[in-house]
Amino acid sequence: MEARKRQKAVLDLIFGLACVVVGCLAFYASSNVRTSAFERLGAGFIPKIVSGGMVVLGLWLSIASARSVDRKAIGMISFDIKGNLPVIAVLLLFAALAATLETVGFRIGAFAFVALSVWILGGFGRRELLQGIVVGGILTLMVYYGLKELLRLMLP
Amino acid sequence: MEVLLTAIAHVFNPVSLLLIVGGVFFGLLLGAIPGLTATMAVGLIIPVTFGLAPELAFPLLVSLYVGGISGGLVSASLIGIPGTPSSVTTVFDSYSMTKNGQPGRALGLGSAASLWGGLASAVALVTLAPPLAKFALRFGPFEFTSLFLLTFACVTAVTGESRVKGYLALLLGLFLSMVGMDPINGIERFTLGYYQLSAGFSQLPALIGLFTLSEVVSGAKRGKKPTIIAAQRFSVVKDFIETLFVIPKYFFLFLRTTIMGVAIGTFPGIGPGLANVLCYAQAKAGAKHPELFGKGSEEGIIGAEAGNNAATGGALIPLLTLVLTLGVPGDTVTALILGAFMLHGIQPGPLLFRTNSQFVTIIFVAFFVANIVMWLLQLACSKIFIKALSTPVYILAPVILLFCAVGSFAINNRVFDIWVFVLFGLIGLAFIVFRVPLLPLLMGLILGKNFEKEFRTALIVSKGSLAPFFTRPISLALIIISVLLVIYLTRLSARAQKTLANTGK
Repeated sequence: MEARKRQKAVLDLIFGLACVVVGCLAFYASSNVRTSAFERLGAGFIPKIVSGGMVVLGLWLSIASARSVDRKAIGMISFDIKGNLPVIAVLLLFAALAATLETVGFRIGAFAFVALSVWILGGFGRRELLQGIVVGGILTLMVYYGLKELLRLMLP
Repeated sequence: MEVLLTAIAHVFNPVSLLLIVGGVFFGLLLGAIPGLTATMAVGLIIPVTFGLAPELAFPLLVSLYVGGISGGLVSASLIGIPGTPSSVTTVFDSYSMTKNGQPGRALGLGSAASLWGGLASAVALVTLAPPLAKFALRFGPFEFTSLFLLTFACVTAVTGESRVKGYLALLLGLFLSMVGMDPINGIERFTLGYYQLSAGFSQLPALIGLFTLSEVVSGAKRGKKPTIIAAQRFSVVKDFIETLFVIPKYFFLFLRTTIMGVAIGTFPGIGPGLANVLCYAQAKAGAKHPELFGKGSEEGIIGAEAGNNAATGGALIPLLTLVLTLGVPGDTVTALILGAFMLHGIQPGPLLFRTNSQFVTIIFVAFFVANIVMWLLQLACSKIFIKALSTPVYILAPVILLFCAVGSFAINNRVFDIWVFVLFGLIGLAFIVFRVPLLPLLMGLILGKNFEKEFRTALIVSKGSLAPFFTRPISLALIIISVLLVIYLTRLSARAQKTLANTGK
């Protein structure tokens, strides 16, 4: 229970500080929003209040959580890179799909994405690769003809 | 009467009926798979509805909502994992009943309670929505601003362990909603030079990203193959028919939890998830034998399931009525449906009742029919849903991501929106890692632009004075209600967490 509390305090501290940084940047950007000379409540008025609120509450959260943070608590925070590698790879594949969708087209891009993702998440087995190819092929054709031909949706 | 008859004829038209059955089925299927929710079901299908007329698209979305909320019961009863957040407390008693050798009765009771709860909320929707809509026509910018404040207060009051994080999430959502042209003068803000952002972030890719990407990623991380332990044989038909008539035996419990479910659903920003927990707590508090709760109590299942399905109708009430120029969503799913309204060029709110009463009546009738279809499908297809539980997540995850990419692209036919999906997906993931509630961010994002418009209009009208907010009766009443609700909901939320902790041990 104590360990969970300490872990939470570290996460709160990081989140609080991140909010302070984002809030400061947002406040700076809001201060530069063009406003007409006759207008008291210009386009930057509400964003300034919102970003100011973020800075204040971010500081509050950081200070409140900093009390429970020490070296031991920081040591408890770890990121299992190896365990998350398949998910990270799939996210990168998704980004690659978005980047190349217009160049390679929907059918090739979607098929490659699904087949490779199933293979990666399934653990790189031969069976999973086969499943990926079958699911990718069927799904791509279904989505393409279902959405484009039947529902007249635009696809890249 | 003529409007009602035309709406019934429209809903029972073969295409419409097929879409309702398909929607409920897909919702049940996704809701049954742990990690996939009603929000995801609706988010995935909204882009598909572009090719449909609104009179067909919205019954489909409402059906998905009803199916998605009810689907969580299957995995809750059979594998002890709530398929959706709205079945958290259903697990306690329905899974115990399954372990006691009565899986059919557990499923049947849950489905029957869902059916009656859903139908009761449909009646509440039909009777409460029109007078509320009439009342909302009196609202001006001061009242709207106060109403938005009420919504934000509700959302942040139930954010669980850290309210400050809830406020921060809300503020971040509000700021992100202000990207693009400002609603009064049309001045471009915070676009970082991307012309695609001049109208702001596309709402739907952002919403799908926030919920779907994080759910898919955490589902893919959890494991490759879910373990099904309920391989017992049971007679679905016998159990379902039998349990349908058990509800009258618990009429007062049913009535209490249904009224509570509808009321909770009506609060902007709070949906079936909290209703499920609080109605369970209510059922336990009023039970003759509270010690049986968590051990397969029929009252526990009825309270939890009647409550969450009653909240679906309640959540549609604010969406359809409360705001003149923009509906206020009751929960995350109705927030997505609100996005769909705008995509189809329909302005939700009380004026809908005047300008398009036929359309609203179609939604009412479809909601009613969807609840009956939900029970029939649970009866007929329970075995299919049980099979769906064994679908490996490593196959589902890429399929869902692909649908998200297609959906995000199809909204404006541009790849930029797929990047918006990715950006908000990463924000959603970060929020899960840092244990920050997503709902306030979502509400800020959806309502931010209109909140700014109404607030600035009010201040322009009052020449910068805040006094009219406190001198106009409706605005003052809304502010007082906000304060009282924050206190009340904070207590309710604490009670719900205590119930979860006590019974879920």
